[in-house]
Amino acid sequence: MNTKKISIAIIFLVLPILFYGCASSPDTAGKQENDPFESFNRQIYSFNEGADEYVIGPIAHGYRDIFPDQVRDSIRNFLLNLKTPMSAINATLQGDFERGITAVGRFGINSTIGILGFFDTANYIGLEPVDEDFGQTLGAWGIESGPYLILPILGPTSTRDLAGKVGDWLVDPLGLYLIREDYEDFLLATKVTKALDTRVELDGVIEGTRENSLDPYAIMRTMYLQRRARLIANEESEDTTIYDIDIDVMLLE
Amino acid sequence: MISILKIILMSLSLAFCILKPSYAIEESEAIEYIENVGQQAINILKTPIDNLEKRELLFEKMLNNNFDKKLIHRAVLGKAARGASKEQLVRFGKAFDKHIVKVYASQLGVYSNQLFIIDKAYKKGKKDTLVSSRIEHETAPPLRIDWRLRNRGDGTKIIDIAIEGVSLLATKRADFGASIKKGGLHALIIDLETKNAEN
Repeated sequence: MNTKKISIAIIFLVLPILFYGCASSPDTAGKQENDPFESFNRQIYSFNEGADEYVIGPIAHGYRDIFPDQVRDSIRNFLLNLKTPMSAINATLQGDFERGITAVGRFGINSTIGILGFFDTANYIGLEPVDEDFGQTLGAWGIESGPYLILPILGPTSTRDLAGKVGDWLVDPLGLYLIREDYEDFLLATKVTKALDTRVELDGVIEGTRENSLDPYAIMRTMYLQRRARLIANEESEDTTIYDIDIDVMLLE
Repeated sequence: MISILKIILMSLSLAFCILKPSYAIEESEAIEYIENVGQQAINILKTPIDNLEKRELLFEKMLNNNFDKKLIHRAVLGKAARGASKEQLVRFGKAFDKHIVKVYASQLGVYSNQLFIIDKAYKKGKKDTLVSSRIEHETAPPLRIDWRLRNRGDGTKIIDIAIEGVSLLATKRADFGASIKKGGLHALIIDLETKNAEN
C-alpha cells in the first residue's frame, strides 16, 4: 500500500467515528462514566469546537443550503447502501440472522431497482434499514466500551468503537474493492460527504448543547455513550439505556 | 459524634421524603396517560415558534402537571442534595424548571403533520412502567421517545424521558456535575440562574 493509500486509510478510519459520536452517549446514569483521560479529552474537545465553529460547521451548512432536502435524502440513501454489506456482516456476527438477511435483500434491491441505492425502494416493501458496525458487534459480544476518547476533528469515541472502526475497515468488501481498483478518491469523497451529512443532521443537537449546557463536554459524553448503548441493544429492544438507569440509586449517589 | 448523628438523621429524613411508597401503574393506564401528554406536546408544537411566551407557558403547565419534579430534582442532584437547606432546594428547583422550560419550549420545533404513535407499555421492576413511543414524519426518520412513569402516591407522573435512548435525567446530571464539583449546590444554582438570564 503506497503513502496515498495509507493516508486515505487513516482518514477513512477516523472521519466517520467522530461525527457518529456527536449523536451519541453513556453507560448509564448512576454509574461513573469511564473517562480516565478527561483532562486531555477536554483539550481536544475545545480544539474540535473551534474547528467546528469556524470550518466544519460552515462547510456543512453550505452543503445543507446548496442541496435541497430530497437530494440530500438520496445521497444519504446512496451512502447507507454502500455501507449495507458491512451491516449485513456485522448483524450476522451478532447472531441477528434476520437483520443480516434483511441487509442483503436491501442491498440487492436498492442497488438495482433503487438505482445504485439513491432510492430506498426496499423500505417500501418492508425491508427496514440496517446500520450495524463492528463496534456494535463487539458490544453485542459483551465487550465494554472502555475509556471514552475524543479524537482531533473526529470527535467522541471509545477504545472499543475505535477498534471496531479498524475492524470495519479491514473487512469492508466494498471499501477494499474500491481501493484495489484505485477508486480511493471516490471512497474518500463518500466518507467526507457522510461526515458532512451527519453534521447537518446533528446541527440542532450541537447548537442546542452549546447554547443551553453548563458543561457541553459532559453532555456530549453522556449522549455518546447512551446512544451507543442503545444502538448495541438495537432500537426495538427493551434492554436499552433508560431501562438500566437506577433512579433510586441516583437519588442517593 | 453529634455530626455523625446529624448525618444519619438527615439521610433518614431524605430517604423518607424521596423513597415514598411507589405503585406500579397498569400498562393501559400508562398508555392513556402518555396519549394525553402527547396531545399536550402537539399543542405546544402547533403554537407558532415566534410566540415563545405562550410556548413556555404551555410547557411549564405540562411540566407542573405531569412530571414528578421533586423526584427529578433530587435524582439530578444526587448526593449534592445532602446537607442542602430547604431554601437552597427550592431555589434550585425553580432555576432547574426554568432551564428545562426555556430549553425545550424553543427547541421542540413546529408541527408539520407529525404522528405521535405509542408502541407498547410494560412494567419495569415493582415501581415503574415504561411507555415506548415514536414520532413519525414523512420526510424524517422516526424519533423514538421512551417515557418512564411512577406513582409515589400523588398520582401517575413522568420521572424520565429518553429521546433516541438519551435520558433527560442522565444528561442533566452530567451537565451539572462540573458546577457541583466546583462549588457544590450553591455554585450550580448560580450557574443555572446565570444561564437562564442569558437565554
